[in-house]
Amino acid sequence: MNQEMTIPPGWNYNPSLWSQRRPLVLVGSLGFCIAMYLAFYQLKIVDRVWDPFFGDGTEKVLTSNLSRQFPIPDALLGAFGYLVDVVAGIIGSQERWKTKPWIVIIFGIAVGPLGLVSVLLVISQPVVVGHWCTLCLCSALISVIMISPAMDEFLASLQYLQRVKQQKLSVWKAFWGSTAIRQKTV
Amino acid sequence: MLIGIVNIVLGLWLMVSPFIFGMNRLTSNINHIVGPLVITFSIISLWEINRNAIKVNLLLGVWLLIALFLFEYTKTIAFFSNGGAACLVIILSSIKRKGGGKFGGGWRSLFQHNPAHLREAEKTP
Repeated sequence: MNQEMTIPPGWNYNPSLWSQRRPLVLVGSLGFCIAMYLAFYQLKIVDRVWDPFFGDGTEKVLTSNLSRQFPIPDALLGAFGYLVDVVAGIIGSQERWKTKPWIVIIFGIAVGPLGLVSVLLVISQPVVVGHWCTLCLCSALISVIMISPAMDEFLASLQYLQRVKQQKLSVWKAFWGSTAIRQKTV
Repeated sequence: MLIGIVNIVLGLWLMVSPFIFGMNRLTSNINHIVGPLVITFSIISLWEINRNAIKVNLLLGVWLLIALFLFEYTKTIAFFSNGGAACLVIILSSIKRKGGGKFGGGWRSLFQHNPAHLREAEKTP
């Protein structure tokens, strides 16, 4: 594949390269494992949960009223979020910013806003629950670290859709990766 | 990069200082809200594409300064700790940073009629 052709116009690198996405997939997988471990405690599959700094803080956070606000354990929701991150990070070729904007947008939405939600959960630990949870902090850190590296690809896809719109072609078809539109738009 | 890292350390300091100084619940909550936010936007700004995210810390620093006079800090050392952290966050977040990355005009391009990426695309045969 000609690397030059896959670089978005006005950029000096291709944000969809595996070298850009692989670290995100790895970090997302780590986040998934942490969230599943916490979910196992909430689902009573394990009796205790490890916390090197805050004693039983993690258990108090995981059994708090706040953690029971959803029909399923909140850690399981977090694990699902990470799973979406990982799957959306894997799907597509190294020019997916243009060939599959839909998956890049899903990836961006999964990583960006969900990362910020995890920060709100961190804030709620001392403010609402009154305890800290080490692994929850690690999970939130992972979510935040993933935001910026995912956003470059997201921006490249949005710019591609913007060029499609400026050419008065169907943004909807381009979003789903129309080959005909791709051939007409750089 | 260094500015972002120092901001992260300041955010961490804000998070742990209520334990160190034994601050009251209200002022502890301020630190427990602002600290994670400072860390978040500092980490986001470590990547050049989102380097302007650190400007959010400017607002958070200003809020910390205002909070010093709105709420009662029972411990003088906590008052000066928060004041110092706020000033440092404001100063560091105000520093302009240059980068060599090209992002087709960045996020701003999405709201422009003739953005950089479009001009570049027109040059492509």
